[in-house]
Amino acid sequence: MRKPLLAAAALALVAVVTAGSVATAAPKATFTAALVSDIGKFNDKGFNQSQLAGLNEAKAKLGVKTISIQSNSSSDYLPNLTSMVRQGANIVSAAGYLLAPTLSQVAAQFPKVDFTITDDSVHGFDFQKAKEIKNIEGLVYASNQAGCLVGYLAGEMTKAKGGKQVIGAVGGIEIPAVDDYIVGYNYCAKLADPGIKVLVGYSQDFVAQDKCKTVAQNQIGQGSQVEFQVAGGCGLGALNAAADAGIWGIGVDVDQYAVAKNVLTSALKRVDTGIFDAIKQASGGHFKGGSDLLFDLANGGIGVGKISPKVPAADVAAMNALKAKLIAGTVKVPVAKGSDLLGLLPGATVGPTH
Amino acid sequence: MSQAAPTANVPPEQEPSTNFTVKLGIAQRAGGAVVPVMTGVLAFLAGGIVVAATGHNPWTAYKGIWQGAGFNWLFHIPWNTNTINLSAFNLSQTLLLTTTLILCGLAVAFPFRCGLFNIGGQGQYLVGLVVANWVGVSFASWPTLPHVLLGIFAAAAAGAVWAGIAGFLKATTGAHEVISTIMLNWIAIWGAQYLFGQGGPLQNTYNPAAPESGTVVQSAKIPVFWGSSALQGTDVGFFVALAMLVVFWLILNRTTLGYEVRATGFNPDAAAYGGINVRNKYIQAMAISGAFAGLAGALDMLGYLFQFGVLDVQASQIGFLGIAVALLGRNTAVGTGIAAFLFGGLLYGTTRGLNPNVFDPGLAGNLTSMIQGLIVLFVGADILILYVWNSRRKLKRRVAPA
Repeated sequence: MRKPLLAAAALALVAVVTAGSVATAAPKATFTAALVSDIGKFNDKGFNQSQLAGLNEAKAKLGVKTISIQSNSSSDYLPNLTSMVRQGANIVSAAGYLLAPTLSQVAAQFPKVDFTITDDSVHGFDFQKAKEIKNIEGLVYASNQAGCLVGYLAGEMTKAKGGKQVIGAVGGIEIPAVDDYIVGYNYCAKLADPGIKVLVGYSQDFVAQDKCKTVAQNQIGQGSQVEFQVAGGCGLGALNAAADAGIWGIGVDVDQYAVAKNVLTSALKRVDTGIFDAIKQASGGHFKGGSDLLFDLANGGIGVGKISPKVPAADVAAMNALKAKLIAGTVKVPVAKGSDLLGLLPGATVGPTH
Repeated sequence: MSQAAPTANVPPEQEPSTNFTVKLGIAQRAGGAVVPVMTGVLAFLAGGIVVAATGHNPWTAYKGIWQGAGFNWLFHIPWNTNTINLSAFNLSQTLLLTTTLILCGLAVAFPFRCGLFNIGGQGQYLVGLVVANWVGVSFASWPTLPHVLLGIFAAAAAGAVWAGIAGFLKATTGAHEVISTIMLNWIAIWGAQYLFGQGGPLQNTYNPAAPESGTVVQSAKIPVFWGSSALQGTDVGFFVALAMLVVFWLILNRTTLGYEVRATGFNPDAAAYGGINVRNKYIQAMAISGAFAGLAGALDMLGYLFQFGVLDVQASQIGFLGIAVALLGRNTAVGTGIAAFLFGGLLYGTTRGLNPNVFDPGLAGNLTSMIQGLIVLFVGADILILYVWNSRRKLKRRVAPA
């Protein structure tokens, strides 16, 4: 038992060591793309899982080699990012702003490797201190536009139904990435139904479903007719609360139509497209470090998921008309305070969440 | 009852079974390596069966974990200590986790020897983290040595007070320490979330949007002895943890306090009869245990974390792993050290270091939790088996003369 184990370990080690020396010599032979999750993990039915799908798409369509690793705590970020580099990754994608401080540290140590960060701008706070951001690309999403479209639909549905004109949004933490959605939701719900009241609550969590459920139930108790979840895996609890109360729920990031009953639609942030596009760029030698890639309605990085068949066709048509105006730029949706979108979306202004 | 028939067979059968029980009992009491090793092997075998059931090759998976933990580095002579080498880096990271696990293990092992079950390691660890963070962020003008020492002592003291509360409640009101330490865990978890959260007193001053603590200043960072300080190298806190193993052994085996703690652990009534102030021992044992856990928090915060967020507080679990470490280590210094190294390797090898193409780290991470659970179960079961075996023997003795 013991000897084969040692022999195997020794052999494996030789393999690792030789692989290490080869990796620097011939990186072009196989292009390797890597993805590191945040603590939401890859089975969150949303943000992280979608990015993993983007990575797998790159593997299938671009023929690149892929590796992915999950972070269970914030102390995993640094070892995970560096071990991806040491396993020969040419591009390493960090799945969310939570990894930003660590990423700026790691990227400075490995100037020859390309890095991307989802949902964060290289001009944002976390990279101010990093002198070398030439090898980081920010993948920024105009999520205020997605929030706007689902908010408009929520407003239409509430107006048609009558009763208390109240809708709600459950955010994870009060940060710009979350609030961009909610500001858009609030703004466009009021376009559809000027007298509507938008309740906003934060669960302080992106994982524990019960916390979001409590916040949603609170809002439902105040007469909310639609619950928009902006809290990742935690928000599934808000969707369940909406389903239990027989009111509409709205999903976030990925299409969550099938996740719970009574889902009106979902505000899509195509983080999978972002990962895929960045890998495509990098493997083709067109990586643009030190800048941001903006994803919006116009280029399909932002969108709306499956709409419940119970929604009247006229409402869907009205929403699509608004969508066309957003793409044309004739209607501008405000963004959250401190949002990365301020410098990226032409003419963006700061708006309130409720 | 059907004891009439077997009674005739008792004399020949009793001999070997008694021997076995005695041997097993000795092995267990002597802190023998037999039972823990068997426990570990069984847990790994069971884990392997589950891996096979998911359609993976258990051998490949374990080999991947072995390499992911950097253990293969130990067999690669001459040693290349440069952490650009993947296996060296992995091992340096395993040692970081080992540091924490040694101390969290000791935090469970020490009160165990006093007959107390400290489930509050996680809370005491968090309290240590918070206090070390506060010290590390403040006093920016201090030189390194006093700054680090202040952080370490303040965190250990805070952990001692936190655990001491449970000891005090036990001593004065008889409140069970299992319940009170669990409740103190939640106070620590929610307290830390408030302190680091948006608008909290310890939130960072530079980015109000991020619910995270401030960053520990340079002068409070513990020096790194292996790897790059910019890339989470192993800090000298590892040696502090090793030294604590010695301290643990010395306190228990070479001091009056240790003698009294062990006496209380064996039988509190007898200890009290012998003139030992059992209530004081409860408070002291818990305080010492909390100091170990608080120290773990300080070494992590000043050694490599430097910053902690609300989401990190929610995700942190390492204090609980200390229970499995102490149980597998039989609450001894050497055992805890070895078990911490094993669990450190397992934890790092299944989550961060594992090559994701060998075995899905998402699955492998759960394997760690499973092996951890099995070990706790087997350790508990082994006491249960002994108990059943012993009562069977007693039963036979009672029946035999009739």
